[in-house]
Amino acid sequence: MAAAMELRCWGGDWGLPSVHTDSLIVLAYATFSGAKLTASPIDWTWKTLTATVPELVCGDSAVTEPSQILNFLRKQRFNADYELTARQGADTMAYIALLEEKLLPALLHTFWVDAENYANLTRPWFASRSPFPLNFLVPSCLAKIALSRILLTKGESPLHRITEVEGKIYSDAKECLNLLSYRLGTENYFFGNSPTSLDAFVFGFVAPLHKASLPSSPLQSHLRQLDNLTCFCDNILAVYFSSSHPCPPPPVQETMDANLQKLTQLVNKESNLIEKMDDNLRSSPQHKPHRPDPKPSLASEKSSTPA
Amino acid sequence: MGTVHARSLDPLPMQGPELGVHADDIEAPDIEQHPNQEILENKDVVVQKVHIDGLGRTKEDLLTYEIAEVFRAKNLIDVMRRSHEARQKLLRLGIFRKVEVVIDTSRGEDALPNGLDVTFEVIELRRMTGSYNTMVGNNEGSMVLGVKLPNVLGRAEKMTFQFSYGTKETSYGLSFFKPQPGHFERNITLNAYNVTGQFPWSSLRETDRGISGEFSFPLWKTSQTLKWEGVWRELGCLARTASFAVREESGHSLKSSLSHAMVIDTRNSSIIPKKGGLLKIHQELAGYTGGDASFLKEDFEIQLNKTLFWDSVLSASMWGGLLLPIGEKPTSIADRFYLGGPTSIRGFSMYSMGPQSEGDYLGGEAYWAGGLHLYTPLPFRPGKGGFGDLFRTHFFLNAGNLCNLNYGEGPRAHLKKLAECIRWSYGLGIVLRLGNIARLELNYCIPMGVQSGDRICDGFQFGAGIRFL
Amino acid sequence: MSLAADAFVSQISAAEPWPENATLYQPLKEDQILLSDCASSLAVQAYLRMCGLPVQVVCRANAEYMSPSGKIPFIHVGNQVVSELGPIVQFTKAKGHSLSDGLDDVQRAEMKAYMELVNNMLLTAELYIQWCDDATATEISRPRYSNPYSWPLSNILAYQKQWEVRRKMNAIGWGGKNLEQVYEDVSQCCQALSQRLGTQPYFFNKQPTELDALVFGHLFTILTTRLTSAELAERIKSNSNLLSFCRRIEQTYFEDKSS
Repeated sequence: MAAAMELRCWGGDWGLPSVHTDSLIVLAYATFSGAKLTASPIDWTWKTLTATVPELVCGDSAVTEPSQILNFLRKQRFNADYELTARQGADTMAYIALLEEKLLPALLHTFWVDAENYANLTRPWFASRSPFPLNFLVPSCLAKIALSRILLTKGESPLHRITEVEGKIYSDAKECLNLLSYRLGTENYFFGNSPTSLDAFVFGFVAPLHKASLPSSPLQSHLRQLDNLTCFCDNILAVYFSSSHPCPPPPVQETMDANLQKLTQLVNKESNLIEKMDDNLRSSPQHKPHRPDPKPSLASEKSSTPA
Repeated sequence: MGTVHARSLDPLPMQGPELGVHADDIEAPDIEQHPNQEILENKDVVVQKVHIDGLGRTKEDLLTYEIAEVFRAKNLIDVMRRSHEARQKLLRLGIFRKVEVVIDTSRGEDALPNGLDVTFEVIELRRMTGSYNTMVGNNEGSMVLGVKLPNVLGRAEKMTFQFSYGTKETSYGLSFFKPQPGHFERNITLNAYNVTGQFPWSSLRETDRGISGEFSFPLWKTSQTLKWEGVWRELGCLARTASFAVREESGHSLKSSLSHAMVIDTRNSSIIPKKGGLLKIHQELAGYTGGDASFLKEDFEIQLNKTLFWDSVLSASMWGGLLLPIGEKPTSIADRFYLGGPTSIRGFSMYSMGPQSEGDYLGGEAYWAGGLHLYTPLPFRPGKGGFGDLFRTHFFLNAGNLCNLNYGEGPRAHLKKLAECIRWSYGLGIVLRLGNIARLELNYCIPMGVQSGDRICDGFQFGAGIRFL
Repeated sequence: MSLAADAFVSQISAAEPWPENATLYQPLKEDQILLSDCASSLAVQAYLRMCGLPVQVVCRANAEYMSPSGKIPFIHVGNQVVSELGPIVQFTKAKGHSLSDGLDDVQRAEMKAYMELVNNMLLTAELYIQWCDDATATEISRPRYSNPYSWPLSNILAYQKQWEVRRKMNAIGWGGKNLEQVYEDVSQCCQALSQRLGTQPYFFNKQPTELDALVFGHLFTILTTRLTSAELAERIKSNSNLLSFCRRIEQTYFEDKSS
């Protein structure tokens, strides 16, 4: 826990601590959970070509990929999710999957494949942050990776052309933003009053789209119409990433944390046990069910108020 | 006697090293009546030496067969004629750019008083020649690059590589040709290719990747070819609006087939022949050497030409074919026959006849087509003797039918089915001859006997191609 | 086709009622179909049965190439061809049949999110196990996939498909995972589904939705397909409410013919 943690990521611009989605997710989560990370941007180093970003280096171990980094941080007891119920944890997984499947392809397209945006914004930015002579290679490498990811996941064989899928990925992305907006409603964060890993993911995906000055983006104009999402991003930036205000203390973490977790797990196990017993009872021949309706879930009642 | 150069006897200049000398361009040599001719004719000569100068990579044993006849000449005129024939044989090999014959008296110690030395001065083709063409077709343009290596190993083998890069598709092919030394008509060709084609009349896209080997040999007056071909065919829909029948054919299949073709060609030219006939019979058996496709395919082509009064030519031709599936699997759309268009039954759109589904033509398993043409020179013969000779007017009558047969019934029922619903058309037009390979046509057609589902091209129709009905 | 053309066509198709001869195409059931395709096909069949729409299942060796998007299954309704569950749900909605009309916006957002979870985790795990695990690929996937074709085409197609799937796995970041990690992901996904289902009969209480069809398709197929190792099925069996969920849907919608 005491070992210093260093995060290799892309640098920041446009009011964001980092312009790269995955790096932004990790930075946001670290701030939410109170982990002290030193962000070392790889800008202007040769690592722009060689390193997998983001990468968390702690002592001897190095972890890549946002979900694995978040797991690692949780194991180090930097957990922003400890207040979530199991059901909310499941929802988190589902919404993250939704973001990756529906929103990510359109974001990659907007920044890396759309010719106007790529030539006027993305390529100059990344080229200016890479040392010579990598400034010629890095943007085109990243663009190629983005294009192949879109085609491999969304391309419909045998006509693997980007124009065929463009309409579909943008309409999926707009729908995804709408769904996020419905789910967020009027709250500040997705679950309760403090941000969790889902907030980190949504922030990481949506903030660059909100803040970048894209020459042409129907997706960005669609986002601007969803006020609650833009307020969500601005709120997080103001509260957690503003240099003038100090970060609010993360929710109480100490040793109480582990006990609370254990209790929650116990309670969940209990409720599963009770369910199983219930099922057995119901299916045993002596006890015919009195009520045909399924009873309200005991599990949800118990786990909503951690003892 | 000084050196006698046998003159080049063809009136038209050589078009390039690949094109051999064609029989129809050669008229009978007109030998000047030399005052000394009678003396030369009766004087006995012996050909003592025949040299070939200028050989680089060509192996000599290949050429001895071609020039062997020269030794048998008995008198000077005979020597000149046989040398000319030998020269043609050398050119036909396709390895020399130029061949000149020099006939001289023998010199040296063992020279006979009536001995002659014949020398062939040859210039070999370069080791590698390239060509670059652009082609414009149906809604597509493409760039064709060809690389040819003539005479690769010294015995008239030829290797060709062709690469076609188009706005829509890319194709390439590699081919190796080897004749038997001494018998040029017996040869082996090996091919490997990857060809993609788009067929908008069926909304079909087809990619063929295959290898084939063929062996040709002459037999009496015919030319026979035996071929084995293995093709990986990939079929797909060209557009989302393709009919479901075509969608059902999409996918991969492997065809491994043996085929045999017999050709008798006595025409004086293959483009606008003046006399002679053509008989071509081709059969293909697939499925017995592996693969998924299994069928027996037969088709034939007959053409007869006769010159009438005033330089006009009457030509009658007939095509027909039958596809018999073996086993329970139905035939594939890529194996079936198609009919219609400016190269077969004029007046109908390209391959837009016969069985169809929602506007996509599926081809048929049996067909026949016949044509009757009268070719005449252009009225008032403009440009006679030069450019005008490449044009002809023609009056035509085409008829044919394409259908699927129910193989359970007997041959009488089949004939009846082929005879009903005959499509036919008539009209007139202008034909332009392109070199020795292709021809262009502009016709005014009136299609008749149109069945429901056929697409016609009423009025003016333009066609270009190699094989016409 | 552009979105506008799509919308136009769906408007036209909306006017026609569901025909009697609607057909669903999938690869050959006995010899050819693989786990992931079978799961997707079963999900669509379950969905159509839940909507009460009759459909015949036809097996074709070249079903994958017939499909307009290259994915199984696809349905041929009237003269329209639609493939994959998402577009099929939209297509039936245009004809007036829908299972998720009673949901409010937040619930619909949850439903779509969970469907993406199944696609992202379960389907990707199925593809990984089939094609990236050498044992399964050699013993089961490649022989089955190339079953209708003759040599050497069978080898070419099987290896081509394997290469394509591995490329996709690398692009989405699953290339570096090992089998244990994949099983862990499947467990987590099943736990999440189990938590969400709780003790309700369906995910959104009384009425089944397309999410139920999708989850049923995948879980039932995994439970009833024999692979080189039974690990995957074991991970699902540890969640008993999912087992009873599958049994319930099977009894309600798939066993009416046998009685």
